[in-house]
Amino acid sequence: MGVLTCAAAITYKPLQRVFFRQPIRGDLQSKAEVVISDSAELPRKSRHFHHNTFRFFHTIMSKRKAKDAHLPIGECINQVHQILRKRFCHQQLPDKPEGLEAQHKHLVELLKRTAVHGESNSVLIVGPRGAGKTMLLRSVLRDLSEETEVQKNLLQVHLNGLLQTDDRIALKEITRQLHLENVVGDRVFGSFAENLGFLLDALKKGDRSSSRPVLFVLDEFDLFAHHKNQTLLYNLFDVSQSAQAPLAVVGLTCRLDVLELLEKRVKSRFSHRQIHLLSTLTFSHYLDRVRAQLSLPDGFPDGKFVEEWNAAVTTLCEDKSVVEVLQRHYNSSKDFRSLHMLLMLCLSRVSVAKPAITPADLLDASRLCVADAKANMLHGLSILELCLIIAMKHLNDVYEGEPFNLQMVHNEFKKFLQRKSSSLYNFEQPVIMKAFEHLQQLELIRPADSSSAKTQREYQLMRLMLDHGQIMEALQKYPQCPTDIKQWAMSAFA
Amino acid sequence: MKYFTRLRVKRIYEWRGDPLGFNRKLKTLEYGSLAIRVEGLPQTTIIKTGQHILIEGDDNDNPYVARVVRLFADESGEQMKAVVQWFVRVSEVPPSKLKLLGRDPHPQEIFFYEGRNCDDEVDAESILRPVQVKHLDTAAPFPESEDKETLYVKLSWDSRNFRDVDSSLVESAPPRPPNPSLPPSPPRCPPAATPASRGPGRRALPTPDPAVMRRAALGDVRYSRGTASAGKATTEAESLHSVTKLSSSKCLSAKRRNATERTPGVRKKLQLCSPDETAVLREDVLNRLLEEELESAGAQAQRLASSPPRSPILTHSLTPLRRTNRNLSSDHSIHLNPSAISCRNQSLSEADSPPSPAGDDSSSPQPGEELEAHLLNGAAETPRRRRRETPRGNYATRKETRTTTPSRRKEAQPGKEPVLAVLAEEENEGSPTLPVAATRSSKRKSALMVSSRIKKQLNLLDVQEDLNSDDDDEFIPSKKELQSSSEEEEEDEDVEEEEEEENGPGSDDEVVAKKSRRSSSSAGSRTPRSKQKTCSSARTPRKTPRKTTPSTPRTPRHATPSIPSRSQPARRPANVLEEARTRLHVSSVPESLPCREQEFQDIYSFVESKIMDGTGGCMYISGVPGTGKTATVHEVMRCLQHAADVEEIPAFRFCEINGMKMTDPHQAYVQILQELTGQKATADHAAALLEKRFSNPAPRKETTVLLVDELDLLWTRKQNVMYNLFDWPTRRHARLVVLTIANTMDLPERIMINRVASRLNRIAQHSSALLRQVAALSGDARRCLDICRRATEICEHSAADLSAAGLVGMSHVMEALNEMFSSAYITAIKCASTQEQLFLRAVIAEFRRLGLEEATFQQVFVQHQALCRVEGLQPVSVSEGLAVCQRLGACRLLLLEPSRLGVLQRVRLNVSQDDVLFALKAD
Amino acid sequence: MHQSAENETCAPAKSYPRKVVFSICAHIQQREMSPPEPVFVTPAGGGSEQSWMAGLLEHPGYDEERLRRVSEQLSCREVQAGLLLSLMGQPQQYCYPSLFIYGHRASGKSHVVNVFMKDLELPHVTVSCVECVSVALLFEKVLRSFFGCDAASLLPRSPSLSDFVRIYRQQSSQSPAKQTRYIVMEKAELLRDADVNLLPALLRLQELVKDNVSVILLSEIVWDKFRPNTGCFEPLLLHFPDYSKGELQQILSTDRHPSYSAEFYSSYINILLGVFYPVCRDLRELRHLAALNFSKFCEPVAAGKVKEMDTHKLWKNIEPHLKKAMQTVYLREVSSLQWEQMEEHESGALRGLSAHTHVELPYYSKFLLIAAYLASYNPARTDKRFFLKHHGKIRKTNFLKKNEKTSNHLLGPKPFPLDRLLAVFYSVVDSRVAPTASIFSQISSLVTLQLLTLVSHDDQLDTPKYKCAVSLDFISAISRTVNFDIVKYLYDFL
Repeated sequence: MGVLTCAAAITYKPLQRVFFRQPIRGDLQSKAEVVISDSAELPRKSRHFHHNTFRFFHTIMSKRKAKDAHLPIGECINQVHQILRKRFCHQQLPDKPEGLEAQHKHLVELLKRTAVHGESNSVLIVGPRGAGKTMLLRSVLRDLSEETEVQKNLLQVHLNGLLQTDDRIALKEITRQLHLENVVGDRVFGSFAENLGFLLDALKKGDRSSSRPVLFVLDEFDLFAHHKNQTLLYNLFDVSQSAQAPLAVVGLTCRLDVLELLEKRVKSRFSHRQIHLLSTLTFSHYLDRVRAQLSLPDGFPDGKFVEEWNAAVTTLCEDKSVVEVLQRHYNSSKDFRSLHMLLMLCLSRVSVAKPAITPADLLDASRLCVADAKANMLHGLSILELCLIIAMKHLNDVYEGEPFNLQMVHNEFKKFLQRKSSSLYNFEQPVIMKAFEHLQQLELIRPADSSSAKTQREYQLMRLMLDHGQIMEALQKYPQCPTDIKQWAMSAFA
Repeated sequence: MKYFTRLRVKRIYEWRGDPLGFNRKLKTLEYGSLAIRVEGLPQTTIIKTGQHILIEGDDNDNPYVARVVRLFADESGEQMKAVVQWFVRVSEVPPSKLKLLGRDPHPQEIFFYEGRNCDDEVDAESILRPVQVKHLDTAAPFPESEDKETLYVKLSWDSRNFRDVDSSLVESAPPRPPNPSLPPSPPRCPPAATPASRGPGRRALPTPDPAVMRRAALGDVRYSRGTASAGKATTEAESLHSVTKLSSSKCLSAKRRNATERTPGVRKKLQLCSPDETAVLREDVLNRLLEEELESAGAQAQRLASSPPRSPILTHSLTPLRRTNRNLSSDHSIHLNPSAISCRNQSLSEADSPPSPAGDDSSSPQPGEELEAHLLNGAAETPRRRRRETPRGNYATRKETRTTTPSRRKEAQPGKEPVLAVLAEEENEGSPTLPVAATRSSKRKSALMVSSRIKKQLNLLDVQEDLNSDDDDEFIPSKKELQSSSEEEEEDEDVEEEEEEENGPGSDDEVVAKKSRRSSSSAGSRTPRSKQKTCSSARTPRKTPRKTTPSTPRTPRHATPSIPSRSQPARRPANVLEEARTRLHVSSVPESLPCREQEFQDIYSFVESKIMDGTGGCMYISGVPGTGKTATVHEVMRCLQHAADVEEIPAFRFCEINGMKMTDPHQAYVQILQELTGQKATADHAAALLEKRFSNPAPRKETTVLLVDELDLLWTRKQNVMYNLFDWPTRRHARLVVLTIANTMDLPERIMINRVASRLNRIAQHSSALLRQVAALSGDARRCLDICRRATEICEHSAADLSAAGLVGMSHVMEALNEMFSSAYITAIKCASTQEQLFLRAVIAEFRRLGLEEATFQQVFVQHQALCRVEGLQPVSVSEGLAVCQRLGACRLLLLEPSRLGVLQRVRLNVSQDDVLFALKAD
Repeated sequence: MHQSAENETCAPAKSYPRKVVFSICAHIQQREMSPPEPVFVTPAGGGSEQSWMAGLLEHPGYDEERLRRVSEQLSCREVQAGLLLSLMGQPQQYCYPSLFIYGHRASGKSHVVNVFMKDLELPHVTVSCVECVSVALLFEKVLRSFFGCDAASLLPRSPSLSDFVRIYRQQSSQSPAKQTRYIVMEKAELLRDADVNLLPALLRLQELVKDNVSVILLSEIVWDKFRPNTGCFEPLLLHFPDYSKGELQQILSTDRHPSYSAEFYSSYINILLGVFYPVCRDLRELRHLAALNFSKFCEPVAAGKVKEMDTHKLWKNIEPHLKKAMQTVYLREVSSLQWEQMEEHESGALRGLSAHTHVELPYYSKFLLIAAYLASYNPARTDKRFFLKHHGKIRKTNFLKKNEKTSNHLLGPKPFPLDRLLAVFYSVVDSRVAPTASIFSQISSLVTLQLLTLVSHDDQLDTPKYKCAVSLDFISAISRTVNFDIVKYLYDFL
C-alpha cells in the first residue's frame, strides 16, 4: 500500500494536464492526444487502447479507497513499468525455467546430492551469452533454498572471473565468504601462501559426512583458467575428487572450448560434466515467450486492467508486422537478452497517454536495434569528409583493397572536382588533412601499419573501415546530398 | 648445532684405568669405565659398563636412554666406542602403539627396547651423563620422588607390543646418584649461560607483576648462594622458587578478579585469535595488565599458535606425576582415559588413511560437552588444538598423548602444594557453578591447556628466532635454554603455567626469568663465562620480532582452518544405486588398485629396501593424469605403514607435498619442514634447517619418505629446489627416500641438470585400460569413474520414470559417454540462430573462394548478404552482421581479431569445415 | 552546454570569448518569438518542427517544474531527451543496466545526460575516462559520490575490481538505492584501453553489485568496436544524430550580439554556415568561428557604409575573410588571439599565413633541401636527363610514359643515398662549392629540423640514406626565394 499511495501521489501531477500531439514523422515517440477532466467522477469508458481516443479517469482520491477494483490509469501504468522493468532490466527470475527443464533437473539433482549426501561434484554450465546460464543457476539455488535441509547446510562461495582476476584476490574472496578464521570484518590476513594453505587445511579438515558442503560458483569460468598455474582450479577440483570437505564446483562460461583451456592435470580432476544451454526453441515458442514476457501476472492490483493489457499483448503478438519483426529478431538471435532489449524499448513508450504497446512501437524499437551504427555516424559527416570517403571507396575499388594515403585520396577528390565540380570547390591541403584526421578519430579509417612514424602524415598508408553498402546507404540518407556527388559515388570507375 | 655447543663446553672423555683386555677378532681394547669431565672443572663423571646413560640425540631435551654393555676402543685408542642396550622413551614409541599400553604412560617411563633394527654401537663422545633407571614391576605404581632424573622401566618394547621385563635386564650395579655439579649435557649449557645475561634485559621489559620479579630476584640471590655452597641444595632452592611463584600467582589471580572492563581494540585482536568469549575475556584483561609489548608478543603467539610444539620438548620433565601417580591412577584415571583414548584413536583414524570417515570432535559428543563445561579454563583450546594437529599424521597423535600427560599432575596437586591450592581455588572461582567432577576434569583441561600454552610459549621464542634468524647460533641456544628450563624446575613450571594460563603471550618474560635462575643454579661457577656470552645473546632476536610483528598482518597461526560442520549429518546412501555412486566417486579409494600391481610392486620394493637398510634414494614416477600415480603411492605407503606397525620393517615417517598446492616453488621447503617438525619458518630458513637435518648424523634416526607430487611445478630457473630434493637422499645420514610424481615422461631430461637426473631411477606408468570403451577415449581412471557415476544417475532417473529398479546397463554408460565426450560444437551450431548459421556458411563459402582458412569480416559479409538474398531473408546491416559474428566468436566457434578492427578483422573457424557442414546439413 | 563544452570535445584548446558563453540560456527566451527562416528547415532532421514542443518533456515520477526547466535547456534534442528519459523511467524504477549513447562530437550527448542528472537531482556520478588514468581514480570517484568519502577511503591502495564491487555492495546494502544510481562515463572509447575486465564488469555492474545502478557510456565510436572478444552484456544502444543545418542555424543564431537585430545576426550565421558547413559541422567550432568573425562582419554596418538588410554587400565583405579564416584559425595555425590581432592591422599579415611557408634557412641549406626534394621525388634514372649538359639520346616516348600509380607525389618520397644528394646539389647550386664540413653539418641540421629524415640505420655510417620530408608548396616557396624553378626539374610534372 505504501508503495501504491506514494506512486499515486507521484503520478498525480502528470494526470492534471497531458498534451495533445499528432504523432510526428520521424518522431520516434508517437504521442497520443488525451483529455483529462479533473472532476471526472464519470464512469470509465471501455478502454480499447488506440491513439487519440478520449479517456476519463476517476480521481486519485476515489481510487485510493477502492484499491483492488481499478486503479487510476497512471497508477496502473506505473505498476506495469515496475513489473516489466524488473523483468527486462533486472533479470528477475521467472517462476519456472522455460525450455531448460532438463538442465534444471540435472543441476538440482547434482547440487542436492552435494548438499544432502555430501557428495563432491564439479560441473560446467556452457552456453552462449544471454542463454540464461546465470538465470538457470539462480533459479536452481532458489529452489534448493526452499528445502531446509539444503538451505541449512550448503555454504556458498560466488566468484566472478571478471572480478577475481588472479588467485591471490580469489583466495582472499573465498576466505571472506567462508568466514574462515583469518578474517576480521572484511579484512583477510595472511600472505598468499598462507591463505592457500589455510583454505586447503580447512577443506582437508572437513569430511564427507560431518562438515558442511561448500558450493563454489565460478562465473566467467574461462577467465579463471588464465590464472597462473591454474592453482585455484586445480585445488578446487582436487578437493572435489578426494575425501575432504564436500565440494560442488559450478562453472559458468560461454566458451565451448573451455576444456581445452584447462591444463592436463586440472582437466583430469574435473568430472567432465557439462550442462549445455543451447536453446532449440522454435519461432512459435519464441512468440509465446514474448507474450509471456509482456503479459502481466495475476497478482496485479487492478484485475480489469490486467485483462485488457494481456488481451492487447495477445493481439499485438498476432499482428502481422509484429510477427515479421519478431521473426527477424528470432533469426538473428534467440537469446533472452536481445529480446529484453527490444521489449524494453517498446515498454519505454508506454505512458499514461498511450497505455499499451502498439505495433508501431515494436517497429520503431526494432528499427533502433537493427540500425547500422556506422551509417548513423556517416550521416553526421561534413560533405567534404563524405567526399573523401567516396574517394577512398574508389581507391579501394581500383587498387582492390590496397591501403592508400591522403595524397591519393586528395588526388581522387581533385580529379572529381575537375571533372564536374558544380557543387564543391577545392580545399586547401590542410583543410583536407583536418577532415582526414577527423575520420581517423571516428575510426572510420585506420593506419595500415603503425610503424610509419617517420613518414609524413599525408603519405601515411590508411585503410577504410567501411563496407560499400554502408557508404551507399549513408549517401541515400544524407541530407541534401548534391546529385553530382551521388553520381560520383555510383560511378563504377573513378 | 651440536658442534656449536661443543665449542661452549669442552668435554673431555678418557678411559679410566688400563684396558681390561684386547679383543683380537675385533681388534678392540675393552675398557671397564670411562671418565667424562669438563675442562676447568674438577669433578669427573664415571661411566661404567652396566650403567644407564643418556646419549645425546637430535632431540636435546630428552637424550636417548641406554645402558652401557661394553666400552671399547680400537687399538689406536682414539676411537672411543660403546655398545649399549637401548631404552625408548614414551615419546619414541609410535603413538598408535601407545594405546596397547592400556594406560597413560608415565612421562618418565621408559621401555626396554628389544627392536632389532638399530645399531647398538655409539660414539663414546655422544654419552652425556649417567642417569638413574629403576625397574618397577608392572603392577607397581610409579613411585614419587623429588628428583626427576630417575627413569622407570616396567615393560619392554619390541616396537610390536609391550612385554614385562625382569629386573635383571634393567637393574645393574646401583649407579651412583647423578653428580649435581656435573656440567649439564652440551645441549643444556648454553641456556645455562644465556639466561644469566637475560636478567638485565628482562628487567627492562614490562613484567606482569613487580612482586613476582622482586621475589624472583630475591630467589636469585639466595639461590646463587645455594649453588655457591657446593650447590647440592637444588631441592631447597626449588621450594624457594615455588614460594615466590605462589605469591606471584596469587596477586595475579587477585588482579584478574578485579579487572573487569576491557579495551575493544585489544578485544578485537584477540577475538581473532580465540573466538570463544571467555578466553577473550581472560586474555584481554591480561592485555590490560601487560602493555603494548605484550600485544606484539600476542601477535607472535597468534603467529605461532597453530604450529605444534617442536618434537618431544619438556613432556618428560613434568615429573611431579611421580608423586601423584598412586592416588591418580586409582580414581582419576576414570575421567582420564576415555577422553585421552578417544582423542587418541580419533587422531589416529584421521592420521592414517583418508577414506575412513573420522569422528570429528563436533561429531563425537564427549569432548563436545567437556568443551562447553570448561570454557572458562580455555579448555576450548584443546579440542581445537587437537583438530589442528591431526592432519599432521602420527606426529600429531604423538603430541596428543603428551598433551594429556601433564593433566594428572595438576589433579593431584591441590593436596600437595600451596601453589596448586591457589590454582584450584582460582579455578573454582573461575567456574563456581561447576560440579566437583567437572572442576576436577576442568583442572585437567586447564592443565592440558596450560602445558600446551607453555609449549606454545616455548616455541613462541624459538620460532621468533625462525622468523628472523639468519644466524642459527642465536636460534639454537635460546631454544635449548627454554627446554632445559622447562625440564628442570617443575615447580617453576607449575607457577609459570599458572601464569601462562592467563597471560598467554606475555609470559615469555617469565620463562626467561626462570632461565636466569636456572642458569645460575646449573651453570654454577661458569657464570663469568656466560657473562661474556651475554653480549651475544643479549642481542638474541627476542626483541627484534617485537619490532617486526606489527608490520604485515599474517594469518593468525592458531586460527583453526575449518569448515563449519553441518547441522545434521549427511544422508547415507539409500538405495543400491546411490551406494554404487558413492563407491564410484573418485574420492573413495579402492582397497586394491587393479592393473597397477606391477608399478605397485616396483615402488613398494624400492621404498621397502631403502627403509630396511636405512639408506636414501629417490624415484621418479610419471604417467598421464588419472592413471593412479598418486593413488598407487598412497597405497604403497599404507601397506608399508602397516608393515612397520607389525614390525616387519623399521618405523618410518611419511610426508607429502604437492607442487600445485603451493604458491611458489620455495614454499616446498616450508611445507616439508612443517610436516616434519611442525615449525613454521621462512623459505630460506626452512631450507637451511632441512639441509642441517638431512646432512647431520644422528643415531637411530628413522627413515623419512617424502612424496613430491606435481614435481614439474617445483621447477625454478636455478633448479635449486629440485636439486635439493634429489640431493638430500644421497647424503650419508639423510635416510631420506624421495618419491616424485609428474605427468611428463621426460621431465628429467627436459628440465633437470644431468647430475640431478642421474640421481633418480624412475618408473613410467603407462595408462592401462581399466574399462575398455573408456580407454578407447582416454586412459584416465578418473574419467572412467565419473562416467560410471553419471551412468548410475541416468539409470536412476530412467528407473524413476519406469518405476523399475534399473540395473546400470551398457546403454546408460554409452549415454553418459555421449554426454561427456560428444563435441558441443556441432550441437551448438545446430542450435545457432538462422543468421549465425548463415554466417558460418558464408565463412566457409569465402574460404573456399579464397582457398585460405582465413578471411576478413568484410569479405565474409559480402557472402553473407548474398546468402541472405538467396534464403529470402532481408539482408542484415553491418552492425548486425558484426554482432552475429562476434557472438559466434564469443562461444569460440570462430576465432576473431580484436573487435576494434571493425570490418577489417580477420575471421577463422575454430571447428573443422566438415563439422560445420555436417551440423548445418543435419537440420 | 558549457560543461558539455568542457568534457565533450577536445576541439579549441582556447577558452571562448565571453560573448559566446551565454549560449542557450540567452537563446531560450528568443526562440519562440524568432522562428528560423523556413529556408533552413531541412526535410530530414525535423529540428524546427520539434522546436515548438520544447518544454513538453514529461514523465511521471519527476517534478514537472523541473522537467520544464530541463526541456528548455535541451533545444533541438527533444526527441533524444524524451527517449532517454522514458528509458530511464521513474527514479525508483529499474533502468536498463547499461546504456550506450553514441553520436558525433558536440551533438549534445553529455549535455542532455548531465542536464537530466543535475536538474532532476538524480544520484549520479559523471566520470570522464580521460581524467581516470587509473581505475583507482574511477572507483574512488564513484564510491565517493554515491556513499561519501569514508566509503571511498575503504579502498585499498591499488584496488582491484573485486575490492570495488565488494565495497560498493556493502555500502549499498547499508544505504540501498531509493532511486536509480547512474554512472556516466564520457569518452567511453578509452575504456577499451583500460583493463580488459573493466568494460564487461561495468556493463553488468547492476548484476554484480545487486543495486539499482545503471551505467551510461558516451562515445563517438560505434559500439561494434567495443565488444570484448568473449562478448559481454550488451548495452542498450542510443544514437544522437548530428544537428541538421537548420538546427545549427537556430542554435547559433541564439547567441546574437545584443546591439544587433536577430535577423541581422542570423543572416550572418547563414553566411558563416554557407562557408563552413561543407567542411565542419561541429557546433562548437562553428560557434567559435562565428564569435571570432562577427566583429569583422558588422564593421561596414558600424561604419555606416551598408544597411543591415543589405545582405549581399555584407556577404561580399565577409566572404574572403571567412575563407581566410578557414585556412588559418580553423586549422589552429594561428590562435584566436593572433587572428583578432590580424584583423586590426589588415596589411601583410594576411599573406602567407600558413606557418611553414616562412622558414628562414641558410643559402646552401635551401639548395640542399631542394636537392633532397628532387632526389627523393625523381627516379634516379632520370637524373642524367635533368642534370647532364648533353646526355645521350633519351627517347621522349619511353621516357615520358608514366602512370600516376608510380607518381612519387602520391606515393611519397623515396630514400636516397648521401652521394646522390650531393651530386644533385652540386648540379643545382650555381656557384662552385667545396664539399666542406659546413655542408655536411648543414645536412645534419636539416635532419634535426625534420626537413630531412634519416631512414637508414645508424650503423651504416658510410652510406646514410635520407628522405625529404617537406611538401611541394613548401619547397616551391623555398625555391622561389632562391629563384630556382623546381617544377622544371620534377619528373612528375613533365
